[in-house]
Amino acid sequence: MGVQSFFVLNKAGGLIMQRSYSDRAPRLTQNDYIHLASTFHSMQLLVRELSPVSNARECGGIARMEATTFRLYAMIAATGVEMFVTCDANPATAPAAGAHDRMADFLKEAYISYTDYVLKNPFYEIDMPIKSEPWDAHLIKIVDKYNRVGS
Amino acid sequence: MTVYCLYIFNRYGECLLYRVYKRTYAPRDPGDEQKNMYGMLFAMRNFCQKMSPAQAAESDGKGLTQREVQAHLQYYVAGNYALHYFETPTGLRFIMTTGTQFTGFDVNQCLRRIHARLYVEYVVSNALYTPGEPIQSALFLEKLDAYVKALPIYE
Amino acid sequence: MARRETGRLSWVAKKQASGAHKRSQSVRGMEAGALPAGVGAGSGAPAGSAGYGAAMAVAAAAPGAQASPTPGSTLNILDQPLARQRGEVSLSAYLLLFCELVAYSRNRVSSVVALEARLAAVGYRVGERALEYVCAKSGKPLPRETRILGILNFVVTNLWRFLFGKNADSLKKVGNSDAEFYIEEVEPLVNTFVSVPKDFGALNCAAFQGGIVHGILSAAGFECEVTTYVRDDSSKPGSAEVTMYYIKFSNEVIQRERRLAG
Repeated sequence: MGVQSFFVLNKAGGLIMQRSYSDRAPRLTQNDYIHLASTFHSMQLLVRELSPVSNARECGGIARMEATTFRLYAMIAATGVEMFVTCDANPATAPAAGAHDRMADFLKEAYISYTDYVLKNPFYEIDMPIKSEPWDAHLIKIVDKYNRVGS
Repeated sequence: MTVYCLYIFNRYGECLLYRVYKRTYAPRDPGDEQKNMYGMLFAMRNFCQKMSPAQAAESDGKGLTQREVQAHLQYYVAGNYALHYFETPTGLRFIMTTGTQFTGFDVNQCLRRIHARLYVEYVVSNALYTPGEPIQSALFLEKLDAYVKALPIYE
Repeated sequence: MARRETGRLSWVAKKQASGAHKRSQSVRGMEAGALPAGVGAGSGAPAGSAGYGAAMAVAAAAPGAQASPTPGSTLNILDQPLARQRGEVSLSAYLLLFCELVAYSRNRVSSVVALEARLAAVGYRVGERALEYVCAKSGKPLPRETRILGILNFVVTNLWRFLFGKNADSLKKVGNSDAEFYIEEVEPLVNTFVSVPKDFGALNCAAFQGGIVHGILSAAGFECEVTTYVRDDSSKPGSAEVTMYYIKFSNEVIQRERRLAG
């Protein structure tokens, strides 16, 4: 699947976690990542405003975004925490069947591991940047699992 | 699965065309919405450029242009609609909002055809059209509607 | 008055009768053998709860009756049947509660050592009660352990399974000493999702589990000191950090042990 980067944002749009899992992930400074994260957060809000079939409250945010060389999958939890992940995309071929579902599953697993390793850590303050080694190790396991499955 | 709207913007953010097909919810002020759309897509385009994957050294000697190497936004899917985006090298942006089920069908290809076969033919080649003005050519609109309504994703 | 099958003098029925008695709020002596009297007390209760008492008695009279709550009543933990309780608690709920416990303790101490001591103190209170509960709830009657190895084995198997759903990894003796032992555990349950920030130094939340061990041993009559260490085994292949609960028994316990050993 070629998972590249994984971002977690708090409900105010501030970046609380960012990890790169591939050489192909862009190499940016920490400031750049924070900037990108808040851009993404405001994009989420605007996307809902621009819905042609419903008002903003009823439209879910960005589910996935495809560019020529990468694909992005995002989810918003009920608490307002946003997570998005970028992965490789081959512009010549269409995404493999079930690729979208698989990445949606990846985000679900990542979110469940967030509720475990981050929210059950007594030393974590909500909405603050996350520093949890057990969570990092568990995320690497999840990324490996999804990288092994198909293209 | 259907087509909701079509927009054409120029590089300065001016909306040259806003065509409604099957849209069910319209905002009170379309001008406002167009500004939001242009601004958001501008930010999204920059986001994609920044997030573009770092290219490993090309070992097969394929010379890729700068434009080919960078990531260009193609579409995004939100909760209840999808938005397809195509930008020409001149900064012209073609945007189509559709329903969420379009797997197997390349809507970007449609936008490219609209640009190449309809816009270039009937608007650019139109001697009476000044670039930068809203498109009012009846011939163009007629051909455009016929094309869109003939698309397999249009119901 | 409901007829009871006297052949089935089940513990359950007795408890239910005493429960009905409690709720009827009449003070009557309940002798162990006075079962029909107990039933009579239930159905002869004041009008307000007569229906309840009769219902309980009827329910008890049915063969193999289980304590089924009647509408509007809440069952006391002592009224619940003993046998075959799964005893499972959601891990998420438990760990979230532990999270709050640590945060609560953190607000009331001023040093890392004091925080560990406070967690151990809370664990002590848990341990005291855990021993009573496990002994009361076990299906077969458990012998009271009087020897050190006996109680330690009991802790490592029965109590660990009751508290954490698994056995502790190992129980070892320190050198030749009779008084010092340690229990090893690779992954203490409370540390499953904990990541200690650098400025807390060597804090180990498994001090809570160490406190539980301390409480159990004290309640069983074995005075001791328990401290929690982490041994870093990363040099040995296949093992990571191991948490050790180091137990040092007091002199009286050692002397008693020697006397019993003969």
